[in-house]
Amino acid sequence: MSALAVSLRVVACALVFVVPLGAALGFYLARGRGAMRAVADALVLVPLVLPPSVVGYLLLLLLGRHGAIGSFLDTALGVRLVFSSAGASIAAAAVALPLMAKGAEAAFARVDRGLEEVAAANGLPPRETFRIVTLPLALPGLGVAITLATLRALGEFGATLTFAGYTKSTATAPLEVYFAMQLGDDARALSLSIALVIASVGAALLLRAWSRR
Amino acid sequence: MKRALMLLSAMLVSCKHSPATITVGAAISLKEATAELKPPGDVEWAYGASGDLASQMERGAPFAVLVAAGEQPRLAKIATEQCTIAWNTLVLVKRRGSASVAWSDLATAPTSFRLAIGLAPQVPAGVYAEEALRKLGAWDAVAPKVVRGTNVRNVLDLVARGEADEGVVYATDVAVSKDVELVAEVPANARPNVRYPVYVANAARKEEKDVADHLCAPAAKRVLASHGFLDHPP
Repeated sequence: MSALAVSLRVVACALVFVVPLGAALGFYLARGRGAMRAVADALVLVPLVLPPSVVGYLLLLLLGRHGAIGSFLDTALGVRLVFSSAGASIAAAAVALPLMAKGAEAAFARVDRGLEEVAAANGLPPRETFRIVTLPLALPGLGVAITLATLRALGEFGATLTFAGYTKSTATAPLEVYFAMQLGDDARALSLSIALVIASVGAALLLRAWSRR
Repeated sequence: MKRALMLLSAMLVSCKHSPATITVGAAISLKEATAELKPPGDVEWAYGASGDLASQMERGAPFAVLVAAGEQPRLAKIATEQCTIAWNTLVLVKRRGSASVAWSDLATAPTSFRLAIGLAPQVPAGVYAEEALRKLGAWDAVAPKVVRGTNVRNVLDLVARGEADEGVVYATDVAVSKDVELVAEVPANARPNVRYPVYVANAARKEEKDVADHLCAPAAKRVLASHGFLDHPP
């Protein structure tokens, strides 16, 4: 079932960006202060609350072949994102990033600052303190954030169709369900739907396990 | 529990539009022209790719009349074709100001060249485009360069935005986008018979049959002709 393979590829590529970027953003939101943090906090939610069609349209204006950044990508690097799996990954990443960032923010906010201070007082450099104290304590929360971001990326439909279009390399499982249904190919639409339901239930069980830790 | 269900149904009913409205499905290429048609009753048009609309109609969507951009065999069991309202021709278009590649050069265009056509079989314009390219003997060479639009106006938009270098749409679509210009009409030896049949569901109500009669009358055909549609096969 190639649609699932396309989905896995698109989601994996999206997560490569979403996880580190979202975690860093979440750390900043948890520890940052001042007006910049407030602005970042408001902006990070935007892709989550906007209709996916709007996210896709804005991506098209920005990254399309004649878009503000897209024209540079096309002429300087020969990269075209529309009708490519990279484009589908960008759409998925855009909608998944807020969940990763907000989840990571909560994970880092729950870390006991006292433990970090003890480590620092004992002469542990900040980088080591983060690696040995902060990160392990935030890990369960980060796991929840990654799971939610993965599911949102896997379920992406509107922004993908609007921005990346429907072609072989962008035909993720949610898009295939829609087009198979339109064609009257219920067997395909249903089997892909069942696969997505199983993935979601599996992830929900995983979430439960994570949050109990 | 019972009261909650009743309240819920009442809310749902109030969200539904008035039952007096007659919904008519129409190929999206007819969008501007149909706005000028004045069928009897409170008619609401539902535009889309003809294949998508036919599949919705087959599954019980609330429209009993469909003006499609090509034959819809899946409607054979539930609807009857009443007339052909118009015909059209296929054209090759490009983004305004960009380089033009002729029909005969599509096969040898570089691999980075993208040709947008409709998603077959839902989008009749895509089915016709494939048919024409096959007749020209160019399909095998062109197929790897093809990207698909989800309806013919989406194909037009892909060309307007430059995401596709050229696209195959109907002659009547060209005027809709100011960012798109004509390259050439399809060569005569490859010209498909683009036809707009009017389908009426066998279970249509009287008001719906009246709408179909209106669409099949000479006045409606004249409106379409004034929008550049043909009143005879191409």
